[in-house]
Amino acid sequence: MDFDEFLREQLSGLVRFAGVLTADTYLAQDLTQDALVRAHARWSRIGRMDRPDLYVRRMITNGYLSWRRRWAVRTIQPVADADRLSRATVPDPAVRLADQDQVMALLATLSRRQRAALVLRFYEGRTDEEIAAILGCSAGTVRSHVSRALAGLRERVRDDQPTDATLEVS
Amino acid sequence: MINNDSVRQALGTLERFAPAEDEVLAGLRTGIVRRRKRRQVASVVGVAGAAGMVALGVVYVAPGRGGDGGTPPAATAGTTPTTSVKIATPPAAPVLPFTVGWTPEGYSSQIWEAGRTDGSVQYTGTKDFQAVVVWISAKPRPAAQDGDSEEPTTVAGRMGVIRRLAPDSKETQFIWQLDDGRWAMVGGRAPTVQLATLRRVAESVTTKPTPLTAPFSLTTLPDGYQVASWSGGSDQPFSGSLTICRTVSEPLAGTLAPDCIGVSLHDGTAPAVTLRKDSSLKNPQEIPMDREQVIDGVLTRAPADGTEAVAQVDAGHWASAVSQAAGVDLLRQVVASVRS
Repeated sequence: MDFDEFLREQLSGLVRFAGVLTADTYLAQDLTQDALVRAHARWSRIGRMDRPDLYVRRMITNGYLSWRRRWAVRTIQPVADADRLSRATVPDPAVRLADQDQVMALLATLSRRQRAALVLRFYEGRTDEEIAAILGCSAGTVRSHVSRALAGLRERVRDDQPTDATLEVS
Repeated sequence: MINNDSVRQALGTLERFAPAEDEVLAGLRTGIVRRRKRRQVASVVGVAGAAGMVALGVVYVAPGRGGDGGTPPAATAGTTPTTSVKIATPPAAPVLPFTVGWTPEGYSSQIWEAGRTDGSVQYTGTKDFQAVVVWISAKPRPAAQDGDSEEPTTVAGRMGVIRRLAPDSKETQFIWQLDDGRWAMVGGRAPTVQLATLRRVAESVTTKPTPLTAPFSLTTLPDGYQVASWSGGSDQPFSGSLTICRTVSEPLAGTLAPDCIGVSLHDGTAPAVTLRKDSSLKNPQEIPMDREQVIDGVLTRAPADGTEAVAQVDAGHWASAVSQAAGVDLLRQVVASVRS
């Protein structure tokens, strides 16, 4: 597969993945471009891989996890305001989770690696093995990330709605 | 009730943050062109013709060797001496041209860049988006843009501004001038990083230099070249980089001046090819790194245009030296002198 063919097949999914992962359009664009520029330079090797799509997702995810930024740019990246979660007053946690801004706030309370694992599992529908390849860890560690991420969300919701909140996470 | 489907649906709402594909493609083309230009050579300068360069060492040619790196080979018996350059002393270790006297608890230096007058460092905490950037330069910080707001303040008794960047005014920067006239910026994202935290970091910045650990070393520095800047940290696409130039320029420009050589250390195995494409992403060309010479017992490889040289430093690292005009022989000398 050459680089142009890869772009035609994968670019749409990559930008959506980066958008969901970061919840920040500019950061998503930055990370996607950066990963693709570097992938382009190494395409002779990446293009021969069995799953170049996973490898490029790994590059995007690594960029997100390490949050590498150029110094010359004028900002460091926007971030969802995690404090807004604790100030939330919507009584039904299900409603709150469905609220887009609250979702950002909830996700901002997780570690980046946990959030990446959640996005790969529940948004992209990846298997443990695929997520492990992207995150560079074992499948067991992936399951741990996902479990802890869900537990973290559950605790957050319970903290805000301790009386009647029922959360089922499987 | 919340279940996996709820989480899936909630994450799906974040698709709205996906960037436009055409904008990503435009940025990709720009990035590729920039990378390509950085690696291009206007002309290959023969070392023999370069002023000030005198043959001293012994360089061997290993014709016909292929492969894509691996451990550094020993010099091949029976190979032919070719050329060499005058070598001076190892480059000076990096020194951050300022000191940050206080950072929030749990924050650590993640990435840094250090020139003679300009430098920057990013400190990150253990939680998401905890990041504080300290940036010092002889050049003023870029002016505010539409939508930014500024309010006057003082930092360590000197006049400055608090700039809040558009669109949401949460990106906050303290900007002021240090005692020696350089400009300083301390930035972070509110409220993850509190204004009081940024102020305390800013108040702790002094002009005193801070020695840093070099991410790698060179055994020698080419004659006539000086260290322009170092970069390093735990959050780099490579282990670190060094820019050496005949005319020292400050970092942060994002480009490599023609009289400079960029040296970097990477994890893994040195590549066998370098890829070149035009700005439309058409007609990709793999340029083999097949011009081999052994320099001081280290196999170096370069493409035909002589813009780059690579060498395997050890089993886990390879080094690259790139320049628009230095010439492949000098690049080989430099890359062969890299030590991890």
